[in-house]
Amino acid sequence: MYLEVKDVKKSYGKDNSYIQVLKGISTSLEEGQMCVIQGTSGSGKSTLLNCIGGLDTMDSGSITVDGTEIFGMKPNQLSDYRRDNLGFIFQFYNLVPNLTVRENIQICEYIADDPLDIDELLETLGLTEHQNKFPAQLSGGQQQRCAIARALVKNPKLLLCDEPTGALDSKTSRDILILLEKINEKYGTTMLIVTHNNSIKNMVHKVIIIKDGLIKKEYENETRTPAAELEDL
Amino acid sequence: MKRVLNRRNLRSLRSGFPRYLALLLLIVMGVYLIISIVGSAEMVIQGTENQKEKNKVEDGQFTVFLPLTDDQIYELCGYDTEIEPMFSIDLKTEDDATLRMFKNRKNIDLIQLDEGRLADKYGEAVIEKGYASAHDIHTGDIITAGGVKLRITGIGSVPDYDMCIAHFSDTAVERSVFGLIFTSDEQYDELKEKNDLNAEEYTYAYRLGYTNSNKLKAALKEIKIDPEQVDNKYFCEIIDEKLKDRYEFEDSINELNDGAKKLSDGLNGLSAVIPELKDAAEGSAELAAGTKELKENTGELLDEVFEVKIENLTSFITAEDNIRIEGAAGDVVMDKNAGLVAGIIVLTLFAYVISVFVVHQIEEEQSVIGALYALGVKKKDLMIHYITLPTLISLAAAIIGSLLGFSPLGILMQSKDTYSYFSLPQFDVVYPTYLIVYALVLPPVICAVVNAFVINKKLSRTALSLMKNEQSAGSYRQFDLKTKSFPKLFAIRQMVRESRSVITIVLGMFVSVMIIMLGADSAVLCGNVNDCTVNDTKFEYQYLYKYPDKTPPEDGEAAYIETLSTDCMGYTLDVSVIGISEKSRYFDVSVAKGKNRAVINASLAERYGYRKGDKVAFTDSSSDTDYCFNVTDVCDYSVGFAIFMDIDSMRELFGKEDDYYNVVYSDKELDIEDGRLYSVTTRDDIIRGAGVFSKLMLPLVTTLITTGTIVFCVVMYLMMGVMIDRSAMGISLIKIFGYRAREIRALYLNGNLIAVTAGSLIAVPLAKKVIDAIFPSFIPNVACTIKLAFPWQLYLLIFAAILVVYFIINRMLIGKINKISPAEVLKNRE
Repeated sequence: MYLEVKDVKKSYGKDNSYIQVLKGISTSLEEGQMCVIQGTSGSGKSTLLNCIGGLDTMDSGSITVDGTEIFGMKPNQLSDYRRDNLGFIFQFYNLVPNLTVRENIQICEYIADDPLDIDELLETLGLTEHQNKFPAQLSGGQQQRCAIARALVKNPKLLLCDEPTGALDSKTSRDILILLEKINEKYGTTMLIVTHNNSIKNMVHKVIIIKDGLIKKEYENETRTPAAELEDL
Repeated sequence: MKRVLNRRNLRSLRSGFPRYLALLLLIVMGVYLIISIVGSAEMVIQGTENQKEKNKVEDGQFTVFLPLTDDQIYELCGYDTEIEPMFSIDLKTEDDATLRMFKNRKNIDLIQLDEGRLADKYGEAVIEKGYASAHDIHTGDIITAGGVKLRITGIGSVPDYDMCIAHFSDTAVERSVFGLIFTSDEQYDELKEKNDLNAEEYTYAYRLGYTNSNKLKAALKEIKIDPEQVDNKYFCEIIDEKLKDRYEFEDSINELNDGAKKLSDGLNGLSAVIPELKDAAEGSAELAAGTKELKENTGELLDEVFEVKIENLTSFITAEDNIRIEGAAGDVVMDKNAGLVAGIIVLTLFAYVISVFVVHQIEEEQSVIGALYALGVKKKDLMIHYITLPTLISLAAAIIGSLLGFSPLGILMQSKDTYSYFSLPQFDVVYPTYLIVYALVLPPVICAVVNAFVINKKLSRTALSLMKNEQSAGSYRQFDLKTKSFPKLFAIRQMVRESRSVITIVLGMFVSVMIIMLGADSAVLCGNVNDCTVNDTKFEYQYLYKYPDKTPPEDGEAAYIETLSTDCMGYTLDVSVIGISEKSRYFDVSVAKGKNRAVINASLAERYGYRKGDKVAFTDSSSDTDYCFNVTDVCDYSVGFAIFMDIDSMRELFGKEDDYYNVVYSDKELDIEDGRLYSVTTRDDIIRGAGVFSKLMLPLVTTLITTGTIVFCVVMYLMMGVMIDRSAMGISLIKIFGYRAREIRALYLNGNLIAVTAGSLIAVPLAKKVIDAIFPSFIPNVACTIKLAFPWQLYLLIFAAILVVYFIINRMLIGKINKISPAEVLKNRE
């Protein structure tokens, strides 16, 4: 297994404000798989993603990525873990506003040992003509494509996407999903997508549904629908 | 609505307390310094002005050869003018200091006692406070002056010796070697008897009625005296020299007369024995009668030919031209003006620093602001809301700063230097309305205005634009960066993004470096004055004559000095005209013959920009005559203001005899009678006098450099801090990507190094240039060199100090960066 999550628990606060967000999550993902984590607000899906991404610590349990255990890692080790293994895509793109498209991608290229070719990436993502523009000069879809390019340039083994289409209209959302699908096929990138969009689950290999901090349902999608054919995005 | 927003202000204050506290302390420091500097200056200026009336300060003074008669004083006292003798004798103390003894003053220049009472009995004296302080003398102590023991009954000061110097030519006050005592008339007369009568100075002080100084001076010039009335043997010597030809002529006539009489008497006796001699006897009798008549008439003729009646007036100086009077008030005027102007600059800088925070807060809250606009809140309300907290902080700082400034920690501490140099009574602290308004109103007003100006644009966007957190495409300037290095590229972009903070850092650096430069320039100037004095003073002894001998001492070099004056920003400064021989051992100056040809010294050239070939004019205030000179050269001599002439040409210009001199320079001590001399100045005296300035300026230099450094550190810390706050999201983001701490520092802090380095490369020389340009206006009342050039090591030291401060602050900010959590970015989601 490329990603293995075992009995992960996570809580916040103390006494009256104590809340257990993850109550013992266990799951796994194979290399090259696309997986959707679905759930309502407050179900714990983003917390799980953060724990896998090393952005948040878990109270107990185990998460191994490509054989590396991240539980108990120190901040510096977590930093190296993210640097070497992960790519992130956010709902609101989080591009650096005073850097151009190309420069935003360079942020991650700079720290990668074996980065992808930026020009090729720009071409793939349809950003070549926008590479010298600032984020404020781009549409939402273009900004998200830039964010994807930034995440991919490191050639990460695991791509964590937190509501990647949450801020986009349906047409742009479809374009982005097509892109993710294409990347998955082209580079074999393992992807974990957190979303509350019900349609996205149809295009991925695996679906995990979380409710109240526990996995309510988990299944392999045998009949994947290409992103281009997704409805109700 | 307003109440809710005000409550929010309280919460903002609580959450940003360290930052607001730093700003508050910064403004407190600024206001405290302004109040203490300007307030102490005002205290001295107003105190001196009040003292003028209270202690009846003179309108001027004059010195005469012989005391005026009662009739003469009565004549001069027309039009309600008052004249009071201020005769004095210089007495030596056991430690070779000089105490100038006066009688108790009656109507003019009254003694202001700090403690004790006036001396009204034998064996008592009041002592001048500066000397008392330097010698740790207290009321009740016994001192010895002129060989007589005196009990100190009081300690005080007089307004005509505010700057307590022995001679007008003295460059600095030396409390340990010169002071004043005041005794009863009887005690004074007794001491006078014990000391050389010739040493008594006949000085009168006057307060004008319905007349003016010129008329009084003209009347004094009318008073002539017979030189024979003057008892001073050295003065008599000079008069005798002048009358030598007359005496010789008179002696010859007398001898002729005596001879003729003897001849007549002899022939008359012989003619009785030898009748043939009767005609000869008659002839000789006629000769004797003739010579007698000649002798009688020659007296009148000689009186006409050898006019020896001289003016009794030897010097006349008005209070305005007297550097001893209101010396302190004149000295602090520039402190006051500089303090007020510097205050506005510093407060504006602080207000701008605050505005950077407010802008940052608005940018962080723009979606909330948009929502409030959408709900109907007006821009004016939000403007007031965002300005209220900084304005209140400024007001609070202004109040605290003012209280501290007006407290003993402020004005009294600041005026310590003035009190330790000038002889002043303890003035009451004054509270000028303008200063209170300046200190209390200006900080909040500047803060409100600057902030309103800066944030107005930020609040002028539409509700929708604010809610969407839109960044206008024009916010970031498009420019090509050639560098291939991503960290460099990122640092440059970051710097451009944070240009407002960067500009504030550079501005803060400029202002604080200006303050530091002011201190450094003062220190450098003092050092240079000291060095120039040491290097340019080649003689060991300077003997200034009152009554020069016919021929100068063998081992001395005779010269001729006159003192003229020039104007500098309303202040009258002395210019010494020094007549020297062509090959002077003590002045490396090549003088040319010619009545109006002069070499000017470097100090004059620096201050007024005079160059070779210029025509310069200086005034002789005693005769109201202007003298014009052609500058033949500028010499590298920087002790005071001086011009050099060929001694013969100078004698001719000032109408002196061919062998006249009034100063002798020597490299060893000469045997000259004290009575001939006005003063003896050794090289050590001059060097010590020059060193006094360095000592005096040290506290000011320290204050300026410390203040500048604090302003620099605080502004840099706050601005670099706000830059990191504004970049929190970016830092958080790159932490998510896996950037290491060192790499984050390289991206977010290294750009600051470029900004600080580039800023200091601009700010340091620019600040130096600006301060050098305005520095002469801070010392218009001091005739000295204005060599302000820094050694290159000092520039290096300033640059190094800036970088050290930067690295320390950088280090401190690393903690701030480390605290930024990667999860910060995750807040930016639905």
